[in-house]
Amino acid sequence: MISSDVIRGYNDTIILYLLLDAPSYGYEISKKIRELSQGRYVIKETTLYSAFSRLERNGYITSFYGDETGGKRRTYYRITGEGEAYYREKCDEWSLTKDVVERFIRKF
Amino acid sequence: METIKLYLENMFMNLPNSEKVERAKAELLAMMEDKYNELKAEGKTENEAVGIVISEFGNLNELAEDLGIKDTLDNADSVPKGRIVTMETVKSYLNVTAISARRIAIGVFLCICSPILIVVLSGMSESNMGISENIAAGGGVGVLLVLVAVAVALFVYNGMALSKYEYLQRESFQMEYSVKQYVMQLQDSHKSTFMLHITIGVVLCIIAVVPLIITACIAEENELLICVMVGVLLFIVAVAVLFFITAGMEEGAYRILLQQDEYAPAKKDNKVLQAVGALYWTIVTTAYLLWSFITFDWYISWIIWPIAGVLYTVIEAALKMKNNNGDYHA
Repeated sequence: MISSDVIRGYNDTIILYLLLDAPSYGYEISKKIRELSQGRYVIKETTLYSAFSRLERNGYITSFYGDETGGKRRTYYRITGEGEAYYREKCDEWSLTKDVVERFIRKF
Repeated sequence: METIKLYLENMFMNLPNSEKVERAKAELLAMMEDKYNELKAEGKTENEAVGIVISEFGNLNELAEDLGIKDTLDNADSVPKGRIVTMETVKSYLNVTAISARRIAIGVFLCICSPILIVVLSGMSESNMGISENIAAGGGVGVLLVLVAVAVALFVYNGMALSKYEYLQRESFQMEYSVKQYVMQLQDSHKSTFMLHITIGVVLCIIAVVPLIITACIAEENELLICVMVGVLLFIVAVAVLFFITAGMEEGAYRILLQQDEYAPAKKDNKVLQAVGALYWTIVTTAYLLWSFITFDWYISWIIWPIAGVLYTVIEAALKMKNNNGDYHA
């Protein structure tokens, strides 16, 4: 399991990535994170929700109610233009970070 | 699912009823419900599903700034006392306890079973089955010593593995609300297993003497058979103890983590009581052994224990009263 301290700065990036192709809702996103990380990163519900609300406040995503069968209305999230721009920024930042940190990693 | 709803209700209990708070609650519940349903669909039991959902919920402090509830949360735990026990610690402690319960159970099992061979062999030598007394004693004692040695090795090794968590029993500590709820949930779901195992243990203990009694009644002279039945008795009791120890240690771990009963913070913080208690029981034990060995009145000397027990409650109450009058900080 990955330490939540280390990955914290990239939760937003991870969520935006999962919204790039289509809107999605809370559990689906959390499930995809688990699957794509092959179970090595399980995001906490509170972490996920706080990321949603931060991203929405910054205008990177918008939320809307989806039609749901079974009488339950789910909140869906959609990425905005600003969100996409921010995502690209974060990707560049990560390449840089990775490149820098990598220089200080000794392989044992 | 009701447990999850209740859990969330509890978490939000002291928070203001703002729109933001309501929205957060609804979203969190939806996510937890989805996860719960999927876990159930994967074939997990109710308890497993609830346990996983709650353990992966996270921490309300993360939402504090978003929800404008920072002050509420800060006030809630403004006087942290002792170290903080995290979810990781809880999980690894429970893990270690489960492993060590097995080790101790096996150790005790070996100890109880260790004299079986010597009893049976001596029975065989008494009933002239071609085994001399020396071989019986030698072989029996040899096996006994080996089994006890293995048990002691298990105990010592286990003590070292558990020493890391000793502070949980001795010091008072803090635990986040969500972590506490998680442990309470586990304790709750373990309750029926605990009862069942204790019951099985007790029933086995009662059953254990039956073969011996029957043999003693119908085949009084058959010394070998009686010896074998003593062996059977020991074996059944040893199995019963396996149940007691594994169930008891798991329950004990929950009590330690939730600081219940004998692990209540008030008791742990009461250093005077701890010191007096240690001294008191040492004196009582010494008195018991001295009396018994000097007079050999074993048949009555046990009376020390119940008397000492009652007296201890009195001393405990007196010390508590003194503390309450003095500088006791709740």
